[in-house]
Amino acid sequence: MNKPLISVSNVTKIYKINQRVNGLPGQIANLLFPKYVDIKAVDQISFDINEGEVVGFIGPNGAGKSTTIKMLSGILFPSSGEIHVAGYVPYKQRQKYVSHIGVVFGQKSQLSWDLPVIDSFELLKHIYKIPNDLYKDNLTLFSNLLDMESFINQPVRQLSLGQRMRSDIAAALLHSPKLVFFDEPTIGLDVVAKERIREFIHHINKEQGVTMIFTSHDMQDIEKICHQLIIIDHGQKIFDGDISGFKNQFGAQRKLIVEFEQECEISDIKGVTIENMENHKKEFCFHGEDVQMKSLISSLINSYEVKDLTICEPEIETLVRQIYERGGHI
Amino acid sequence: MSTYLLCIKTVFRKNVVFRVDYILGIISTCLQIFISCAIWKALYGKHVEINGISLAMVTTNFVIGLGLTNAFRVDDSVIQRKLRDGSFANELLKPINIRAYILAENLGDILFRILTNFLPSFIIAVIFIGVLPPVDAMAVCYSMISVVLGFGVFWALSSIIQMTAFWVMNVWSLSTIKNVFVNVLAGALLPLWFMPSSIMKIIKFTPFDSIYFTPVQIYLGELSGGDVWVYYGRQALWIVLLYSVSTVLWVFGRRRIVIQGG
Repeated sequence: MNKPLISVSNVTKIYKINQRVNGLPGQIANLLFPKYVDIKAVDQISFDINEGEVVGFIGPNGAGKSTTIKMLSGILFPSSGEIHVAGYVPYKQRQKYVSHIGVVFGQKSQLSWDLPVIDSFELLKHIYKIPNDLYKDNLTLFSNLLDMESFINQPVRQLSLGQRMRSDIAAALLHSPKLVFFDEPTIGLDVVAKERIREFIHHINKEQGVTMIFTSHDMQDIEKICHQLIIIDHGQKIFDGDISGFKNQFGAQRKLIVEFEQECEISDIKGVTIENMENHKKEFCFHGEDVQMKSLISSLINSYEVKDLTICEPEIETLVRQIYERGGHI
Repeated sequence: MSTYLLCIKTVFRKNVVFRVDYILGIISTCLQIFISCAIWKALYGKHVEINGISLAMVTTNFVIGLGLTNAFRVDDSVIQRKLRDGSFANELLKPINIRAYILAENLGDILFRILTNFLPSFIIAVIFIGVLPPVDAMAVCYSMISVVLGFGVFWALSSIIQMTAFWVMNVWSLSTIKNVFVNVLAGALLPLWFMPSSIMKIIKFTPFDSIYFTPVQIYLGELSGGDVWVYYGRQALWIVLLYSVSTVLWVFGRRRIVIQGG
């Protein structure tokens, strides 16, 4: 077993928030004796990530995803706990460490607003001291894969969101980092643009073995790109494993929709909840462990006049929504 | 290193674009010098010397001192701004020394202003007001070294104010207090020769007189020989001291940053 590329153990990040009081007397009191409340953005998180993995890092808004990414990328200091990435402690050896990583923030561009894209790339070449050959190779590769020739000479402020995002991704990968963080890279993009970015990320991971960590609210992103899934909520890790494992653990609930020839009463079946829908349709929900799909179907077909059957496989999106709604308590 | 040189060059080039800005800058500096000199001319009246200080020395003090005041401008709110708009996070992700990068940006600005503001104003002042010639050719070199060190002191002082942005959301008030101290105690408003000796004793324990006044004194030959080296040493000591304070603030400030906006 190789040493994991990223190892995070018992990391906690506490923000001190000034508690504001309404009303003038309260505000004056607050000015003189400010009261602070500790907010745990990240609470005792531990995980390992191996080299070459693509990891989906998901959780509802405010779960602590971005805080974790910022600690992993050396921007924030953790309040306690230890982080080791590729032999560095990110926040302590920031200047050396960051030349091995790339970061893409979907909501914030790293490129200079007024400069043409290519000028920003040139600047990055200097900052990261990228050798000439590597720079040229990467530039050609990215502008082909991401289709950037048409806008590479335009200032960033004139680009569409999709174009800007592609430029940002290329910028983060120019120096061939070992590890790339994507913080919501497909936010606000249309279906085609999303697909193109997913393909690109997939390609880079396969060809160059770059390790990637991915936060997104788009479950299709996660399903199509990621091998491993880490779910956090309220600053705590609630799942860590591969996607099929996730479906098994949380997707035990299965669903069968049956359309009957005519309205009929169905006697209770043990372990199955039945719900009536329109047009003589009924929905059968059950747990895979309690009831076999096969036996349920055959018993229905034998006893009633069945017109059509639909088996609904658990979708990650639905499962994740259920987890978020439960508020992280499994 | 090349990254930082590139940064100095980029900032310099960015400044060149604003032509009206530097013409107005020259006019502003010249006006300040003319007004101060006119006031002191009136104060001197018929006197040739007051306390052994001639009007020409006072004029020279203003031309150099006010000229440098206008050239030495460091943006105290640079870190505050980066923290507020979130670009600080982006810079932390680059393999650069952020403080060196800020210094490089400042140096680009200062070099630009020395060339386009200080030098033209100096020449205009030499022609229209008259400035004492330096005591000898070496004094010019010595005072130039002292100007560089003086800038170092000024920059390190500003750097401390820059770092306070980690604790206060708005550094404006601290920056203003610092500027008042610099203006009064560094000799830009009142030449330090005329400071009451009790205040002068205090000033000797502050970094302020090493910013503009030491170069002026060397230029005029008030300090020469071994004294020059003693004063260089003083300037260097202040740079080290102030820079250390700024470093401590940086180290602790970095730990407590909260990235604004997500």
